[in-house]
Amino acid sequence: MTPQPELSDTDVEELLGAYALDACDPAEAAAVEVVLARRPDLAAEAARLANAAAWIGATEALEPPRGLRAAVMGTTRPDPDDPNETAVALYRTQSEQFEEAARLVADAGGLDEVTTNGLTAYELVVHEAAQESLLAQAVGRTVVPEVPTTDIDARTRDFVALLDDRSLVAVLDVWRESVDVNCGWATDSAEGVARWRGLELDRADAVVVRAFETWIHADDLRRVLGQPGRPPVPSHLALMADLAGRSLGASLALVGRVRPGKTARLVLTGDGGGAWTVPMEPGATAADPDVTLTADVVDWCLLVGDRVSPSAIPHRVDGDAALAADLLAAAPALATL
Amino acid sequence: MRDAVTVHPRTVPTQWECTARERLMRRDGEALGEVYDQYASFVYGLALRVIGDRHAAEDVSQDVFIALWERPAAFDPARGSLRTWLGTLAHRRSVDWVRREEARRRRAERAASRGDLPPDVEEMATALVTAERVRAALDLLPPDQQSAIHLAYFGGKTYRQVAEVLAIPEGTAKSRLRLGLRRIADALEAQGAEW
Repeated sequence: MTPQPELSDTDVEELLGAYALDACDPAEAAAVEVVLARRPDLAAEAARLANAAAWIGATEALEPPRGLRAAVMGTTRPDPDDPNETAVALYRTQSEQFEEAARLVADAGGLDEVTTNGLTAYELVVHEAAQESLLAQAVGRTVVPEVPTTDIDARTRDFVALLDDRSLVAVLDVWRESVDVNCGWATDSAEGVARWRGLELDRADAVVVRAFETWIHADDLRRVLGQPGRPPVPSHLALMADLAGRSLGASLALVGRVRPGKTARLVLTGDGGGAWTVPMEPGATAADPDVTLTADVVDWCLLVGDRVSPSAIPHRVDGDAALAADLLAAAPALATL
Repeated sequence: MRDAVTVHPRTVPTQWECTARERLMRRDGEALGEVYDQYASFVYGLALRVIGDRHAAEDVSQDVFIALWERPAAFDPARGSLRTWLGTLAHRRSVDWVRREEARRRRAERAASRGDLPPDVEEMATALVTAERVRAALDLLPPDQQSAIHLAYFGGKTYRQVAEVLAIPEGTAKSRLRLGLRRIADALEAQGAEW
């Protein structure tokens, strides 16, 4: 490392232009700063020149790539231990990847291709805009277009009708506005619960639900591109798996497979997995498990997202096989709300 | 690498800057979004111009905004504008990148001359309004000052390298940089540019 030279005030005065332009070597710049600290007149001149230099930079202003904003915003996590912040980071990440996939599909001319859930790729993006804005509305935010319909299929149809002549980029703008609004809501400590789609969820769970669906649909778009699915990173997958584990009781109720007095244990293996012991009747207390079902965490999340069938995922059952069948049948219930 | 941005005395800070900083200190992510929307094209354009590589320019731009997010207190509105703060950091990190790359290339020795990497800027260019004035001021500089500033600012050269490239004494390089910048500062002030 170059030793820091000693500079006279006159030396520094001569160097001010170079210093403002970052054209001194680091040791020399440090020596300049020593002098500036005790010479406010020179410091003022340096500030003036640095300002001029910054304006030279402004002559080159260029629209940055779209993904850059999401990348920057995705890192605004003040506290990695804060569940809301972590959930929002997951949501941001999945949203960014969804947008990337949508743009690739558009570039490949595949917007009219029919995706796994029966919508075209274009309609799927519109559907996501409808979904995001539904949450935004549910938590009292105003987003455009304002559509009162809450049934998601009908809402998607309304959105398709409203946005039909828009470019994909314009639809993504609509979609992103709601995503941003939802992220803002989820990180705002003043408010707590989202009541929507028949659910009542706290902020972290609500955005994990959105992230979950966004991931599933991003995979739908990747399939159009002939690309493999892209599971979230383990720390993010863990949030989805946890939501899936905790909501098993509600899922059983949704498909009419409540089993009073029974307890199930779900073990999800792989990075991001975990284990959950849940009563097979909402509100009941868990006891010793009557059945333990073990499966891969990504497989289970894809099952919950309704992208693999219960019969298609490798799993192991210890205990009552009929109860295991109930669990497998109930898992996708939330995806079809 | 010098990450800390030196702060200097300046004129009155704007209310917007003070509010933005306060909100960043409260960890308000939307405030970062607003700062980003205001300055992203400035930061990215500057980084791309210096570096000449889109991915690296993106990385540098991201680092700059994250630096503000992580340490908003480092920006003191009373001592310099947010534009200057972001621009200084973006430029510094870009120059660091270029110099690191140059060092790496020199170590990896000769290799074929890579030539300039002019990005396809035209279709994306959205110059800031004020930038036109600065461009005009730059155009009015004597050519010897212009080329020294271009080499230093956009080329990431030290004043010693500027002297070498232009075959002039180091003292001359220093004074050309200083005089040229002064004229731009004068022109900005004469036209009432906001800091």
